[in-house]
Amino acid sequence: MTDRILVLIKSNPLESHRPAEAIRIALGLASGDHSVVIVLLNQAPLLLANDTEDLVDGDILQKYLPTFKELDQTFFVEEGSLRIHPLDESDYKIQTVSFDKITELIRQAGRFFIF
Amino acid sequence: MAAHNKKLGLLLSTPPQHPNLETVIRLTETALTEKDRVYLYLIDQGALAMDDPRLNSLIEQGLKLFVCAYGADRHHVPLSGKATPCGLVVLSDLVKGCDQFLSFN
Repeated sequence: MTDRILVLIKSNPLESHRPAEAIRIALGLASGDHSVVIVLLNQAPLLLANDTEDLVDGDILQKYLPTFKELDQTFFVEEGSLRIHPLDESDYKIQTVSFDKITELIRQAGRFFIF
Repeated sequence: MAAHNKKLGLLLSTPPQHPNLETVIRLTETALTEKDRVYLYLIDQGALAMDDPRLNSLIEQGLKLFVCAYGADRHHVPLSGKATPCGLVVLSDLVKGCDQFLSFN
C-alpha cells in the first residue's frame, strides 16, 4: 500500500498554477518505483483538454502531460466534473469514477498529494 | 523505552504566510524531540520558506532540509546552502523511504 501514491487535483487550472505543478510532481513520482493514481475533480479535468492555452502554466502542461501517454497512465475523473467538462476529444486515458470509487482509491493508497 | 529513529518525511508547497508552515514546524519540532529523523522537502512556493529562521534552528537540531531546485528557480529564491537543492528523484526516494510521509499543499 505504501508504494501507491494518490495525487488528487481539485484546484482550478484556469486560476491557479497548482494543477500544473501537481502534474509535474505526479510525473516525477511516476518515474520512480511508485504506482501513481491521479484523480481529477471540479475544474481539474480541463488539464486534459486539447487546448491548454488558457490554463495557467499551459506551457508546462504541454511539456509534461504527453509523457503520461507513454506511461499509459490512467486519469480518474469524477463523473460530475466530467459532465461539466466533457473530454470526448481528449486522447488521454480517462476513467470516469464516482465519489465512492474515489474513496476506494484513497483507501488503497499510502501517500497523498492534494492540490 | 519508546521506539525512536522513525523517518518522517514532509513536503511543503505553500508560501510562508500560509498556516501550513507553522504546522510543519510544529510537527518537525515534535518529531525531533522524539529522536525521529525528519526530512522536509520544500517545493513550489514552499521554497520561499527556505530561509525562515525557525527552519534554520531545526536544521541545527537535525532536520534534513531539501529544496526543489526548479521551484527555487521559478520563485527566484537564491540557494543559500541551508537546504540541499534537488529534483523530484529525491522526493520519490523520501516518499518511499520514510515511515510516514505528509504533504502540505
